[in-house]
Amino acid sequence: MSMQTLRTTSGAGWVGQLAEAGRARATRAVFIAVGVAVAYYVGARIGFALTAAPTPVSTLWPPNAILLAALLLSPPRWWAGILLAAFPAHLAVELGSGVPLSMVLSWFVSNSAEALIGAVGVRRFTDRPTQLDSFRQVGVFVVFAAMLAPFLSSFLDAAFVQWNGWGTDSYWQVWSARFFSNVLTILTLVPAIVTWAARDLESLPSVSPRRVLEATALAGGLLLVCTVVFSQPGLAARESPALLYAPLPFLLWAAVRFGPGGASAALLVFSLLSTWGAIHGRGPFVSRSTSDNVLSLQLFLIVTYIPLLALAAAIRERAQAMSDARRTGEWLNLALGAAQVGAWDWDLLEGSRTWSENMPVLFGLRRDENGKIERSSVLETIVPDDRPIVQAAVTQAVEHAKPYEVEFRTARPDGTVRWMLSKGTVVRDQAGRPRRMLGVSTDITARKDAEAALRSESALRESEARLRVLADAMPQIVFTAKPDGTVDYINRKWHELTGSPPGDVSPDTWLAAIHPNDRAAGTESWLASVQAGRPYENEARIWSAGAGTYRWHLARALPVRDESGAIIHWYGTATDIDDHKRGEQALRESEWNLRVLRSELETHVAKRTMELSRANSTLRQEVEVRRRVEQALRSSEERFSKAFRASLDAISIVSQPDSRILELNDRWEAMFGYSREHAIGRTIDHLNIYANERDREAIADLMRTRGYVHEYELDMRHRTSTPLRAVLAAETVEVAGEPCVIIMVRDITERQRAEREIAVQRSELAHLGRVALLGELSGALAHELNQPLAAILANARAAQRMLARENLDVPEFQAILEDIVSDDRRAGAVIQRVRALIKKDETELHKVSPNDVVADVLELAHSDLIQRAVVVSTRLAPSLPEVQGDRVQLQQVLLNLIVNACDAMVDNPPSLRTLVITTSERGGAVRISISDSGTGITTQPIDAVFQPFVTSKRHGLGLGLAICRSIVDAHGGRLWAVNHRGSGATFHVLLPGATTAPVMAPDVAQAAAIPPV
Amino acid sequence: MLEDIPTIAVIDDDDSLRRALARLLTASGYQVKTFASATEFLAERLPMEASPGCLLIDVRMPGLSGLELQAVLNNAGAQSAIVFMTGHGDVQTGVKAMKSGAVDFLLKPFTDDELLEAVGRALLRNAETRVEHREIDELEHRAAKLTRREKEVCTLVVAGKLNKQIAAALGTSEKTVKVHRSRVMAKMEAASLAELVRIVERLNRSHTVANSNRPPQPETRREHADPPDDERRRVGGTAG
Repeated sequence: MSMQTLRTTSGAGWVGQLAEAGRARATRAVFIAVGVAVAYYVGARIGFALTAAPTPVSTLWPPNAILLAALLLSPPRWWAGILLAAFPAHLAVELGSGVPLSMVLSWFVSNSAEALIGAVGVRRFTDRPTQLDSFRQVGVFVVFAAMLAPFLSSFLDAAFVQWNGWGTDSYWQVWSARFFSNVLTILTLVPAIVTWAARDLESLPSVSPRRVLEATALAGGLLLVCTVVFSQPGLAARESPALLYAPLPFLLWAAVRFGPGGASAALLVFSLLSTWGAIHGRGPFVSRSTSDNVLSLQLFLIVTYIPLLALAAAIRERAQAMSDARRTGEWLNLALGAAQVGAWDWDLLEGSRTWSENMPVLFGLRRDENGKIERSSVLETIVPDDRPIVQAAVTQAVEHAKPYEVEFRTARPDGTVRWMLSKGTVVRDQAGRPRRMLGVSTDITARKDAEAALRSESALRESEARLRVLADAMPQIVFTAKPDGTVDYINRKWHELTGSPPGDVSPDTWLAAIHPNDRAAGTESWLASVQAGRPYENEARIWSAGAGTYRWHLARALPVRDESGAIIHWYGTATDIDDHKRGEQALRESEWNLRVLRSELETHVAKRTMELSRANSTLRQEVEVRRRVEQALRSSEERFSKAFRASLDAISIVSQPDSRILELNDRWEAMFGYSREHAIGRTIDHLNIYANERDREAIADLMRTRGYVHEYELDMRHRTSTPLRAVLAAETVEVAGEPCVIIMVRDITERQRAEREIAVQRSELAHLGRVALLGELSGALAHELNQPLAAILANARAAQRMLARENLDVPEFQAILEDIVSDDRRAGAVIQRVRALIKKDETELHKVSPNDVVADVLELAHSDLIQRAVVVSTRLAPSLPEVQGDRVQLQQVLLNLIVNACDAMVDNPPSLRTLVITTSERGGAVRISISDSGTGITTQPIDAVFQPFVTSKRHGLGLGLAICRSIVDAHGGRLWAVNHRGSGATFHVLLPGATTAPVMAPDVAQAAAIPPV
Repeated sequence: MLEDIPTIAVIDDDDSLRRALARLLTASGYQVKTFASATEFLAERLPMEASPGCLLIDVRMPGLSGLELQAVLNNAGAQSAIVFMTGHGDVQTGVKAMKSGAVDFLLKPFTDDELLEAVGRALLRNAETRVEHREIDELEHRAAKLTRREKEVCTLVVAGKLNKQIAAALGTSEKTVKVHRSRVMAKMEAASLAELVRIVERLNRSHTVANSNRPPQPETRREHADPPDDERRRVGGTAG
């Protein structure tokens, strides 16, 4: 404030700078006082210079204006000081020009009064320092400072002049001269001082050179024009109007381009020059008397001043308003941008829209080639589903005056969808018609996302809770796992079973409940399933706390996937399969035992077979030797005797007439236990080597009738009565002209024993085969047996209930009893059949009907065939010869072939599981054929399928067909197989008729038996 | 009345057992129909209302097996409850039967108590199923009365939307929505919003169950078919 004051008093800013350097308040006050005094004094001198004599009033009286400006620029508490400082200057000026003291004092009073009135009026009606940069300030200034103050003070001044008797003019002349003079002075000087005092000198150097150039041009032009106009001597009055307006363009230029400061400066120059011209009788205002000239000049200047000042203020005000508006806009955009809020303004009548700068970014609006936002793109950014909602909201707001508030989604050009919230209000004109709609939009995607997340999370939690209640109610173990396989839930059943604390699903706890031997494999296969995302299945033992043992469980788990196929969760169950598992194990163990038994048996059979073949080869050797001996006998007695002695058969030569023993060999001695000396000379009868008299007689008979005996098998005995089985051959020969009989005996006791043993083994093996077969059929047989048992039980219970009633339905009751009896028989028959098969009998040969055997076997297999969905058809020849054989073993063969056929068809669809059993006669023999539509025989050659341990079954031993073949062989028959050309195979069993010879010519028989397919 | 006596169908290929069961069940106060095979039973083509409450089926039969018959019936949406019988049960078959919705799995020979208990349970289940179906039918009948707009409003109301939101979503006024809403409540005979939600949820659930209740096809014979989870299925203990 003090700075401004100082500047004002000096009229230039450099004094202000000095004052600033002075700092101290007192110093500043002194400076101000001195400044005001100096300015007052200088101003007064100028005023005197511009006073047109003889008027006591100056045309332009600066001191008053300077005093007013000083008061306007300083706070009221300074005013007294300022007036005091001006007083000496006033005295000095006025007294120096010879004015009486009373007049001098009077003028000071009137001048001070004027300054005070103006300053008080302006201060009262403006609220900020006077800058004259607004219309209001100019108005207040003109009314109070420029008009009212001179108007009032001039009354005082004129009165003082009259009172002192100064001058010659009348009261009103003085009043009007002073009024106009002071109005002009105030208008001329105060604006210039006030505006320039506010100017900061420091900012001047930063003014652009162009501006300086313009100001210079303006000043030069104005000076030139004013000089030309106002210094022209004796200008004709009639020419003046045109010239008078020549400076106006420059004044307007200053007002428009340089504001109040420029305008006031230009006006100052203009008025000084015009006044100077008018006083010195030059320029357009020189016409009549000087006072008239001055008055018209003053009026002219006053009239020019006020509009120009107003114009400059208006222009400055507008510029200020524009810059304010610009700054407000910038702030708004800044605020909107920071808050992510877009604002918009929609002119409903014209349809034009205005958006805040960030709206295009918020909405992802398109711009056309001119950079303007395309109007249509606003609606397009809204997701099509939400457009009706937005439009409905707009309609509601415009037509029904509802507040506009709508949430909708927008699709960005990059494809992302954002949630927006728009709020707005409709602006209406006085008639209530909607004119504009104003509003803001903001991105609420984050809030929406959070809400959605919250909602889905709670829904998930709820459904999970429901699932858990359900899972806890289940009798099985139920568990769930995260996509990485971490178990995150196991139901109550688990905790009840294992005794682990409820809710504890940590891997350590649940792994501890699994059998140590199953942990690694279980974990491994679980992880493999999790990794591959395929269903998990595993068997493991789980600790049962209640039972105190581990129980087998079957665990299964399935992945649940989301739309993209990614696994969300695993759901699994574990079911107790312990009973089932133990059953399986028991079965495996029994199978194993059977296998061991069989293999032992097989070894035994092989050993015996070897022994037998060794015996055979020995026999062959012996035959050869004997042949040679005979040859030798015929050729040479010497060779005969050697051979005779060396023979492995017991040889004796008996005289035919009296049966006395003539000669015998070493082997004979050993075989019968008699020494040579003891035997020779005695008869055979005497030695009693025949076990049965019958044989002796038969041999004698044969010798008598035919003269020889070949291969006669008989029982003989050692001297010690040890029985011998032997083969005897006898021939009549002539030795030294005497008819003799040469008898050869071969001990076959050992061989026969081996043969018998083999037969026993074979029958045992067949029995084992039957047992195994029954094992395979056990399920079906149980069913077969349970069927009648169930019927009996139900019937019996029904009968009991009937008995409990009053009137008994006797026929029905009888029917029940009959059913019970027949079911009992049915069950008995099943048991009989099974018992027959399972019985360990010696082979018994009977006459058997092949068709009966087929029927037996189908009864046994009935249930099994149903279960395997195999359809059986039979083509049985009506009149077949009977065969000689063991019924049970033949059943076994057929049953085995049927089971094999079913196994071969297990992978066929049910409609293609057909089994055909055919019986037919083939030249006195009977052929039974079993055809299937299965996989056929894969062994090469086909016949290899009958070798032991050749099997295509998973659990088979490969003994079944080998046993079948040995059975059929033992029956003197043949068993062979052929593959069908399509699928399947046929097994043929050819058995000799009971009345015919064994089928000994396999080649011929086979040729006749092979089916044409 | 004759109609009130529950009918039990016995399907077994064994003549004697069939007769015996018929006698026992008749003596126990049931009506009995017997069939020698699945085909014979299917040829009867009983209407849904007259279908027996309980089917007593032998697992092992020539032609269609018991389990295959069950699959056919499940596919046809039959409501009859099934009790299986078998002369020789294995766990796998039992589990399969129970998983496909059988009430029990009886091992022959079984006592009359076992049989009657299972049959009783089956009839109870069947009755529940029928009641459930009748109720669902009734609810569906109510729902069918809704107009298209009312259905939309109903869906949104059940989804927990406010009238204001529904109005915005359907582009109508809140007042109209209120009218629709009250009509929905009236037609659905719901006294409160909670009841409406319960009704709609029940309808939805019955549709879901109906759509997902497809047992594996009999031809495929998959061992580890994954039937949809259904709380009614359980792995029974009797087969063990």
